[in-house]
Amino acid sequence: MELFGQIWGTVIVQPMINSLIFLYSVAFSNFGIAIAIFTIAIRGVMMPLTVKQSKQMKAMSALQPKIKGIQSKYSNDKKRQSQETMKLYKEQGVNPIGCLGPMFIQMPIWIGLYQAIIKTVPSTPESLVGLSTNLYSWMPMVKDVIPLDSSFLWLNLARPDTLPVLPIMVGVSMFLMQKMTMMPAADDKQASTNKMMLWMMPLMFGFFSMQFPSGLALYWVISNIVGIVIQGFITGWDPLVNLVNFRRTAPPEPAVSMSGASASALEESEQYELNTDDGENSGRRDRDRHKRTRRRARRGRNRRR
Amino acid sequence: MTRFLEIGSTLVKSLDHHYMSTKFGTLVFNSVLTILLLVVFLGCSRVGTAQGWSGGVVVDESLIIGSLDGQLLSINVETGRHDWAPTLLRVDEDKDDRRAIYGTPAVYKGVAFVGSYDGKMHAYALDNGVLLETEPIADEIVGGALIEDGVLYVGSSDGFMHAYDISIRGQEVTMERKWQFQTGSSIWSTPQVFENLLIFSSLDHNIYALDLSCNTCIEGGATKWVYETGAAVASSPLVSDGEVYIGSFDGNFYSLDATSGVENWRFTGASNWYWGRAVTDRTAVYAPSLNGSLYALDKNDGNLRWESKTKGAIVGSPAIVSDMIVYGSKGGDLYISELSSGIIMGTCSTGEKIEAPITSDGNSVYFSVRDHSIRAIQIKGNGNPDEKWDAPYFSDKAKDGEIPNPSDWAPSC
Repeated sequence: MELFGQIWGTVIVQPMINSLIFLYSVAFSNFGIAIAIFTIAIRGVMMPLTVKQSKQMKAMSALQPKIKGIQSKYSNDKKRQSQETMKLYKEQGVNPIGCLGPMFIQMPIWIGLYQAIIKTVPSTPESLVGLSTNLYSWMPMVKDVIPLDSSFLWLNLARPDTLPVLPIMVGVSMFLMQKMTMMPAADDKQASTNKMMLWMMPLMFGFFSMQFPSGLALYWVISNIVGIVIQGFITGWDPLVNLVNFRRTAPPEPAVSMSGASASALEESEQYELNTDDGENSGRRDRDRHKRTRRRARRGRNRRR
Repeated sequence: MTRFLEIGSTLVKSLDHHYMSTKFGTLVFNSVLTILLLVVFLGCSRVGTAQGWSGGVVVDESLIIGSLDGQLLSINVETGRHDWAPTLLRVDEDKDDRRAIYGTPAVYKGVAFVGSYDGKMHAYALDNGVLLETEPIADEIVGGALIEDGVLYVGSSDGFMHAYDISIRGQEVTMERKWQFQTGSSIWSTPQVFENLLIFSSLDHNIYALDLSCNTCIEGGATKWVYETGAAVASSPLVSDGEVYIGSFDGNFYSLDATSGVENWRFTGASNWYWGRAVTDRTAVYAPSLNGSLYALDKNDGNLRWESKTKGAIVGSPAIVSDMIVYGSKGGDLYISELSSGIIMGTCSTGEKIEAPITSDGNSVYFSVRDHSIRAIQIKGNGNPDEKWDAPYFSDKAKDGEIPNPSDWAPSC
């Protein structure tokens, strides 16, 4: 375990700490700016993986209705159920654990970044002593800038935000991020999980932000904003647009939303499309579906007029 | 983070048909995944809380020392039992995480003065442990206080060196601000006085000398001399025979003329920062470094006499016991080396980090350890360390109302 800790520190955390310090020294000795640049850079480097992961997840999500069909068709034969599901995956070229690869590559980087930020702006003398073991002595700027100035705007990045502004920003940005990345629910169970995650995570991280150094909260906010932008370019901005439209047109919503035969016909056609489409086209399909939703909303408004 | 949880959630759904057909299974998987990720994500980061590393001072038969639980302790050096039940330092409600003592207490006329990390200076009566006075001084105090001619000097993290006139009448203590002097960064060192000069370091890379005979000069920002090193300086200066000895974060150890601030020599052999104050005998100065080495340097020219390597950073100051030097490291070991050669004559493993300075009262040493204990080790003539007390004093037990000297404790030295 100790060896793992050493390798982890040497390969992941130390390069990040020293990169942050380098950025601090070139970014007007402002650690807030250094965190922003570093988070954006890391997000940029990880973008191919993020895109790949999103595509895999969408493909898997798109297959859910078909899998549900298999489940109901072979409800009494678990073995057959399993065989048919695997066959379906194979036919559609989807690897059920395909998104694990990118996830496992990204995960250490996010955890490392998190640790690096905490260690780079020490909140106590003990942590400053700890920082000394993580610095590259061959980097000339290191000894010049330590200890880093942790003030940024109204914040001391080594301490929690006394105003609850940053925790609220963390919560809101995380909610929007969740909204952008959430896959359409294939069943009630998934819908309830989605709903729980949509509210639980922002609240939880908002609460954490009140306890932890605000440098971390700043990282979360920037990371979420960058994530929203990336996701917007990959899968479209509809979730955010819909969120705003929903808020604006909330009272007459029942009239806007379709009901009866026309709605079920559309849903059936969508279901059919889902059943026949492959995973690769799922991004386009989602965008099309959102366009249809908007057309549907316009039709509803026209009808009311 | 949310992305990973969502992936986990989606994975559950994709694997649902094979392995987790029940709703309960999904719930368990989701919960375990969430908890695991949070533990890894938040737990591994070990957000630091201030605990302190106070040194001690021996007064009569008592060791006066700050604990890792934010108490001022008075412990009988022979028995290891406290003289009076310690109480927690009083801190503001929103600064509960800053109830920590880093500096060594200063004792003056039967009163112990100790600065806390929440920026207050506390005055305790030594005979009964009663808190006589608390003076808010700054945002944070890390260095120790120095009392000279009735004036208390202490630095703070907002970059100020403060001077307070101390008045003690019976059980009444008053602290009145005399002057303050601003530097460019935090002052974490304990100042020293040499012939009317107040000498201290700052994290702004400089070592300062202020002329105490001219208060208005100090208020106006005048200095007797300033010496700039290549990096921040957290180490406290050692003043001996008209010279200042101090190490910096630039990895250099300096000898300066105390009167003029002119550099005599510098030692460049360390690969990491200096933190603890150096100690000296007649011919050599002993400098502890965070690279885990203790350097013995010739006082006259700074030449390296010997180097002793430990298994962790040496944060606290060493102590000299007859012809030996005792020092602890973050590796958890206490080392006893011969002064003349550096040969290690004895070691003792406490099993926990030693970051506090070592205090000596002749042939015994006292120090606090990261496991919240205060240890007393008797150094024999041959260098062998021996436990002095039946059991260490565990301040966390005292805090919780338990007996701080456990009967089931096994000696480690």
